[in-house]
Amino acid sequence: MSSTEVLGARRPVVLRRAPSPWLAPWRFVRRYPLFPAIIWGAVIVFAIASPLIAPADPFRQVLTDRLQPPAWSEGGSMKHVLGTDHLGRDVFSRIVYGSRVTVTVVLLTVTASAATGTFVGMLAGYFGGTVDALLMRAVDFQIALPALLFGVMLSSVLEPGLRNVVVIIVLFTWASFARLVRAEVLSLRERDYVLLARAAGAGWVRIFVKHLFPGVLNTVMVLATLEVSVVIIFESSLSFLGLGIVPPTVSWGAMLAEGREYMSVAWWLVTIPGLAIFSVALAGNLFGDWLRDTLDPHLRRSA
Amino acid sequence: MRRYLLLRLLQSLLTILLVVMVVFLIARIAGDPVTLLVTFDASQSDINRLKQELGLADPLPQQFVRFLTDAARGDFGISFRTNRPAMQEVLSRVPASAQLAGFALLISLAISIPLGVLAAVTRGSLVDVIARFFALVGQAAPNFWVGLMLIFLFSVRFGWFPTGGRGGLDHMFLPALTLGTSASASLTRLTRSAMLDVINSDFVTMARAKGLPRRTVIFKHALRNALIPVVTILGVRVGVLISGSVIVETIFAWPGVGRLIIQAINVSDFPVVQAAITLTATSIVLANFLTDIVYMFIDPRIRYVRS
Amino acid sequence: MQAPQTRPEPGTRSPAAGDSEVLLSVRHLRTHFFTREGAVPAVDDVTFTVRRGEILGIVGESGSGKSVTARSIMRLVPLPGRIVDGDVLFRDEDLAALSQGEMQRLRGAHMGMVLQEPMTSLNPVLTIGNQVGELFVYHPERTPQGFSVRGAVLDILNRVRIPDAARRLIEYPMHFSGGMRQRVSIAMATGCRPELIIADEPTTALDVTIQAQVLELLLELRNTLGVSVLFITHDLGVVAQICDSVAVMYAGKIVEYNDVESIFDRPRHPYTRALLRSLPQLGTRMARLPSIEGQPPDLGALPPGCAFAPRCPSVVDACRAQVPEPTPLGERGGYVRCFVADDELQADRAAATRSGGGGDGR
Repeated sequence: MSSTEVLGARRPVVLRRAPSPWLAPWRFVRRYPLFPAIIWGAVIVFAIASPLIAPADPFRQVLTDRLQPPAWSEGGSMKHVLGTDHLGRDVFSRIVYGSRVTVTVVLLTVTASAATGTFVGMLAGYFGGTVDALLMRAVDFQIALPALLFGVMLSSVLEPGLRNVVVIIVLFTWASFARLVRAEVLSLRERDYVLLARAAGAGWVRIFVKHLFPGVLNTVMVLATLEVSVVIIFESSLSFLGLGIVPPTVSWGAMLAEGREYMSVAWWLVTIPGLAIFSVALAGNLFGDWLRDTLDPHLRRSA
Repeated sequence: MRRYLLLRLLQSLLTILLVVMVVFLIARIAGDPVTLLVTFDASQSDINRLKQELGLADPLPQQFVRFLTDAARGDFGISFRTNRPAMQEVLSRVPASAQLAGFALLISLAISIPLGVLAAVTRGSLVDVIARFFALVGQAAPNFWVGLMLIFLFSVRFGWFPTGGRGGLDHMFLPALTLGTSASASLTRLTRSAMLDVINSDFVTMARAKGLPRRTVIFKHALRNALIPVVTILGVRVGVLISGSVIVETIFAWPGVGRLIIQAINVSDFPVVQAAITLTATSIVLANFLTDIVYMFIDPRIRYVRS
Repeated sequence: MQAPQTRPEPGTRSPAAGDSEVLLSVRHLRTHFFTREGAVPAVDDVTFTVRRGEILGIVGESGSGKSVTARSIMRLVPLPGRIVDGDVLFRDEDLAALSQGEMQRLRGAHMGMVLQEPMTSLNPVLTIGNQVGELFVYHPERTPQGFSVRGAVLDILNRVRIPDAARRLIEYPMHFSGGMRQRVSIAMATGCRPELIIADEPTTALDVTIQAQVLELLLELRNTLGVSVLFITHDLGVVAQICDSVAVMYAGKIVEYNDVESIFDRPRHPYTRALLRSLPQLGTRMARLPSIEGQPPDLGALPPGCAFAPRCPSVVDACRAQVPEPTPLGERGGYVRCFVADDELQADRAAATRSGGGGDGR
């Protein structure tokens, strides 16, 4: 339930409630997913309504306006709230347009890898035997491969761009879904309602769709949410190295890479896109923890 | 025990074999290496002759076997850029990488284990909240951003550390810290939760009922058991950490294998890329194998199982 | 013989026969768990006494507070539990007033503990020799005279009948069967010749034959070393075999406390009676164990009166209105918390006076 009284009070005291003032803000964050909701909400709105929100054309270069600091900084102006880059492009507008890549990549990769992994996991768990052995060796192997290393190598030989980035990320993320789903299915398939359905002659497709999938849905949703940060960091790492989403498409990782050269004179070019990536990843992890606590309060601490 | 070791060794070798196969396949996706070797005005018959010479006209499995036997001898061909054997290029960078990764691992263990233990035994305290916050933030911060922010703050602003390159300890501190961030964060989280689980177990209550002092209960009884899941994950984290050196070495201009990979990719020096990726992936598999041996020392149940 | 009005407070004497010195006296102990939903009274106003050499059984369903009572005595209550009130007097020392260091010197040396689950109560990564040896390493003053640590370990392992102990010192808990592990636990609890052993359901997880052996061992240690035992169990059959006195717990309170014969011959509390009825009788074959109707109460939301009232077959209005106070039972410190039992006792006493005989009032 909770930790043992390792630090014992000398003389027992009458207490009304557990004394942990430091935990109050923490509990709030864990109980209400306010931060993730705001961040994800903003990013999704940015992505859908980019042209409406962005104050400027993200590609328009105004060399006379180059390296303008953000509005609150000395020398900044409200004209460019988050400043401008080395080509005089508006950073805020680029962040807004960059969210399109983030949202697209996250949606596509997480959906595809959750779907692949869930299907593989259900096959392995339900059929067992050779099918299970073969599929799980593939899972083991994917997990043993250093993802970023092979992601870098693979993207270096493929055409850069959104489609290949998605393919690469899915190749290196599906297995964790498969492993988890398989474990769930192993216990689900012995449940009465599944056994009954089998006895009644239901085919495996029907059992997968009607009985197993609803049973693993919660787990898959929690993992998918937690996977968001993995995917974002993967994508932005590739883009940062110039191997993922490449200009002229705007992506936060590539913005960081470009801004790197000017870091000593324009701190915001590195700080702001990084903060954007970090916030979305953090929101994903917080939301995933919250979802796990909410959907399954008994499984608070796992992996 | 011997059987367990043998089994793990076999699995590791199989993984290495598969790694080499993946490297080979990716290299073939890259397209025809011949087009890179010949001048653009070479005739088709020249190209075919070259293909014959290089064995590229053979069926794929045969090519793979040749690739594999060459790889086993450390022969990945000649670097297009320097005309030296690719493997030699890579090996000359290994000490720098090993030094950085080793130091990063040390830093992350030195941060995460004490912090996780302290957080667990003072659950609900300020230290615990700081540890949880660090675990959360550290896992969400991409290492290229952490690295650049550290450079901006401590090198550009305060001038405490050099911005890059290899040299004394001061050169290594920021890159190692960056490389270790995500591992520290996840190991802190894991140590804390493993300690919390163990602290509630019967044998810890028994140890306390024997009248042992608190530090003996925590370090001898609780921590040794809590380390079992931590070491299991450590293997995975070491892999992630080594892969991360591709980025961190690039940012800090650290002359290691990771930076070499990116440099070689940028000039399409495929033999070097293949050699470097194969070597790095192999070292990760070996690191996992070593973790298993450590694991065996901590947990007697593995040592005696089925022997 | 003392007059009834000067009779000491119930529970401050041990109801068991015999009159050796008092070793442990627990008075008005309250241990609460502070959860987010509020304070849960796991142990609520518990009073009892253990004499040297006595075996006291604490009986109750799971969640009745018997284990928390045991851990409160050793000050090993898991968080968020805290002792909030009451005294624990052990060898005339108030345990609540001791520092952590003083408490550590006491644990293991003067009081030992055996837990229910032998599979989890030994550290899986340390050898048996190491785990038992710690006891003597940290309590050198309590190591039997003239023994090295290893010698003392071997001596106690032989005493609890671990065969081939010398060879098994370097083995790990996984090499031991459940019964053997429980013997090792008992060795750790008794190695320093403590005055008190707290045994928290030590036989529940064992096979019947092993159970008998372990009980035999505890009795033998009591007889040879003169230790007192606080024996926690939900099995009245075991209580009948080894205990001198019994405290029956329900929802954090002791509802009936008396010597073992009186509890079995003249149970006063309806809950005790229900427990006894559910005990399978020797020689009779029952189709099904009768169990007590209803669910044990939720400690976080207790009814205003007696906690057993909702399940009680002889409930009266008073039971739902207020919590019954302990009424002395017999002359030796036993008590019962029940309005119905109070009435019965009154009636018994009246009948005894009418017939002019020397009713003992039990």
